Amino acid sequence: MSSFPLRTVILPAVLISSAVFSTLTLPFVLLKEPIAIDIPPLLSGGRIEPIFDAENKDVAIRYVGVAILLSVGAGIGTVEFLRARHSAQELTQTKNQLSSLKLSLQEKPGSVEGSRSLNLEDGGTSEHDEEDAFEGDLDGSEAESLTLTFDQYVAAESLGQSVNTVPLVLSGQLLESDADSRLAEQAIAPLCEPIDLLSSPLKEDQQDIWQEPVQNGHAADLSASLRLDDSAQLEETQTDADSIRLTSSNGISAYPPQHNTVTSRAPGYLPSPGGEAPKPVDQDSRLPGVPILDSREQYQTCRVRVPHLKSRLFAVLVQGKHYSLFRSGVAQERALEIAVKLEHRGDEPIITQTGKGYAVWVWQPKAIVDDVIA
Amino acid sequence: MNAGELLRRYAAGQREFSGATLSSISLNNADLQGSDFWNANLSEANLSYASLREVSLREAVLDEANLKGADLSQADLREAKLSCAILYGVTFNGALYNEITQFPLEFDPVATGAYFLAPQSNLAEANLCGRDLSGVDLSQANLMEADLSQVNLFGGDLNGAKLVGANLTAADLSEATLARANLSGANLQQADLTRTDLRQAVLLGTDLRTGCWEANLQGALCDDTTRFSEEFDPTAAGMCVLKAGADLQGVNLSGFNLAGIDLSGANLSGANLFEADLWGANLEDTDLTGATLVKANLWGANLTRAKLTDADLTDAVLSEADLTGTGMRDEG
Repeated sequence: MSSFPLRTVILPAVLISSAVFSTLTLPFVLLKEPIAIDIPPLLSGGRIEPIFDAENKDVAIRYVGVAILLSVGAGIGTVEFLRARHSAQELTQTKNQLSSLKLSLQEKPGSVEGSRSLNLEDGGTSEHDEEDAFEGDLDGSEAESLTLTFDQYVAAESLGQSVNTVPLVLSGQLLESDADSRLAEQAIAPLCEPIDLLSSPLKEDQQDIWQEPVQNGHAADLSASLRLDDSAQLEETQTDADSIRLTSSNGISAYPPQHNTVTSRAPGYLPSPGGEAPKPVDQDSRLPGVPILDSREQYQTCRVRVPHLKSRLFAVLVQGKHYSLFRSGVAQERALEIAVKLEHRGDEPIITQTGKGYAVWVWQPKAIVDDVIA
Repeated sequence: MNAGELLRRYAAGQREFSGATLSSISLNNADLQGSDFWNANLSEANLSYASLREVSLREAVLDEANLKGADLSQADLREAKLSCAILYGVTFNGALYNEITQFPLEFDPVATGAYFLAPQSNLAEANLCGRDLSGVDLSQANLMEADLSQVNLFGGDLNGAKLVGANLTAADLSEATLARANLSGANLQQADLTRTDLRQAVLLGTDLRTGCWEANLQGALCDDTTRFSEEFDPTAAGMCVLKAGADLQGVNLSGFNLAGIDLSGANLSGANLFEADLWGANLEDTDLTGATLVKANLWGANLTRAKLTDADLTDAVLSEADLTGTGMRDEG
């Protein structure tokens, strides 16, 4: 819900609830003949006339109770309706992003397999057909699978990998359309175990979806096959909305509900649009990913000082901006994971390849170069 | 995430809990060794008597957390917030913290065995084996006899640091600056010296046998006790080889610690020895013509028959120095 602003839900719900209650209590005003509405001014010292006669009080109380229940019900109904509509909008956005990705991939020479691996239809369906496929009745599991694969795709793009290393598995069935993609998946398969979202780990604790790839201190391999075995089971998981909102009512939102949950657990490479984030991160703006500089010629090293620290910082100069060292000697996946978390909290990270793994750096807008030897 | 869930994940092998919201969690007596709680929120958490050895708590919030009796040995507390935390009986042996780490008022982390990572810190004989110190500023720090084997000092700033006798075996010193650092007697075997700045570093008795081809050694000092690989030519690398009879004309040794060095018969004419520490040095028959020895410490040095013509000895310490044959007034 945090990703769905409360004011857009609560306000209409309260209004509709109030309207229903007002309507239901209108007969009291209109149909009660003997009511003496003539209320004398309080200052006159006169007695206020009762609105209802004593013999009608029991009925009136019950009626008012029913009116309250109905108005509350109307309010809840409104909330659910708005949530469903919001989820439908997210589905449309995801489709748009996926189709734009496919367009960009088709423009890239040598990435044809990647775009094929994202096809939902077997064989070479046209882009228009693929759009139609999305417009069709996506059930919860399909939408989930799409979103997760989309996450993987973006992560793979960020890592500079070909997207054919990110196999799309839908309902336990590979959807690659050519042999090369299968070979690529076979080559990567030993690196990781497929994460079965709906098998026991999810049933035990649905939050494991977000935790699984970072177990043992390592990010899950980006080529991990995310498999949805049974869409019916997914619907079961949807009933427990308090543990994790895997999907909203139509099953497309793949983000945890709380922003702090995202920053702490989410290994995915797309941020939550949670309102608590210091820097709102739009999915489209994240598409290029965190820059990875794999050549020493792409940056210069230096020492910088920042206003709030006595210590000098080791930094790199990239396109006129100084980035101070945050972590070094980590694997590429871990570096990307750290960078995404930094980005979530409003930092601007970059990644460089070093002699022993990868290093993560953070932009220091107030850095002043200090290369003086003590 | 509740305590049961966290412990279940830990038991399953998970160590990565960075950014987790764990405020008010109850983990007393829990074993969470080696976990990573970077940027986690542990405020008001009950961690009393928990084993948190080698745990990373970088940027973690532990305000008002109860850490009574907890074991935080080798933990990383850099940028952590421990304000108002209960730290009674906590073990901080080898824990790391820096100028941003917030401890409760009047709490002295050094007294509990923690290491302060900052310029000019005193980390003599510290055990930092295998730690991640990448990018840290330890310039002018005292790291004498410290165990820095396998340490990650990528990009570290050890400008002017005292690393005499330090163990830097297999350390990652790539991109680090050790300019003017004193590495006398240090062991740098298997150390990664890719693009390491060792300009004017003192490498007397240092073990560099596994190669320092990619390091910048301009003006670094070595002597016959410095151990290089057989193919390495220190002179070609721009190093100053300090030894008896060496030609060191015009060399800049200002501020260097050269206590006890044997430079007998060497040519140091025109050399800059401003504020150099030549305590007990053997400068017999040394040519110091025109050398700058302003504020140099020559206490107990052997200057027998040294040529001091036009040498500037303003404010130099010459107590107990042997000036026989130098022609100076206080000769003998």
